[in-house]
Amino acid sequence: MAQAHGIASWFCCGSAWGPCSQAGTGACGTCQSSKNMSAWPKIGTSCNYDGCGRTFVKLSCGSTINVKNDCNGKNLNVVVADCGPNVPRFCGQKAPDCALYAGRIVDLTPAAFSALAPLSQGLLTCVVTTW
Amino acid sequence: MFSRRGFIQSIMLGAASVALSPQLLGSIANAVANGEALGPNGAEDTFVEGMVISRTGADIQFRGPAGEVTALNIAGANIWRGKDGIQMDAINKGDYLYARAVFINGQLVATNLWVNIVNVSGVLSEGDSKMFILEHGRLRYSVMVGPDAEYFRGLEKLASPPKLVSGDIVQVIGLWEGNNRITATRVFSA
Repeated sequence: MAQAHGIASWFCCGSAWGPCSQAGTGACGTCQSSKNMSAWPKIGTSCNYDGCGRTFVKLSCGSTINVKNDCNGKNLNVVVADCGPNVPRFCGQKAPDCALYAGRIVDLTPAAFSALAPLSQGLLTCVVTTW
Repeated sequence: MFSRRGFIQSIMLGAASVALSPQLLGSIANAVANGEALGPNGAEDTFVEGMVISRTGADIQFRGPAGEVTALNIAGANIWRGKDGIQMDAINKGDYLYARAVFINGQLVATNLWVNIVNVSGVLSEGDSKMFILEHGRLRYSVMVGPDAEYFRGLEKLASPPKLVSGDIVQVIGLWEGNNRITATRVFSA
């Protein structure tokens, strides 16, 4: 078991609306906004967004990780379904909540993010547990 | 964001302006009286999304990504459309919604609703802090920053718009206006 502390945001996939219309179903071909899914920065051989002094655990499409909002304690399991975020782009990013940690480490579908915080918040402080 | 517990309690206290059937109100009362499991994760609530195809008062019908049509009552929901606390009359046919909802007596009842919300990040290629072009791969978004928008740099909430220049990495939460246009309500920059 490993844990990573940082920031989560959200993205859409799999539905044909607005900016999602060209998002497709992600690197794994399974991503759906309405399911509890995530993007993870290191999947398989062609997806690797190590950066900002972080080396991520390599996961496979379909892996389950746990994401906990470390400001309110809510957590849920999500299925890895896409590659991202582009970690080096968001090294110093903090969420406008309790802001315990910095740096983007995971992106969640609207279904998953909204279970942890309002979508309009945009970012949340989280702990990700991988197995 | 409304919790299910808060939502139900607000109804019981009359704080929410709702138009629910007597049967539904009875079920809500029973849920509260029985201390129905309202866990910290709201485990029994659900997420729905889709395009609004009709609205009659507080009752919406929307079409989900798989084409299914679902009825949703939004009488007691917190509605976001550029900001929280928007009235239900602002929801129109063709709007796209994300919602957290609970099943009460077989009826899907929204607790939180986000209308036409988007979250886009990319490289600022033209413009300034109030109006800019955001490029995400081969996609280009025209972003107009709303009058009440909040700017963040790192954790810091800025009192005034920061200087944004071409090449900056920017993330925007906002309202989708169609044709790749976004009205930003939150702007995050590095």
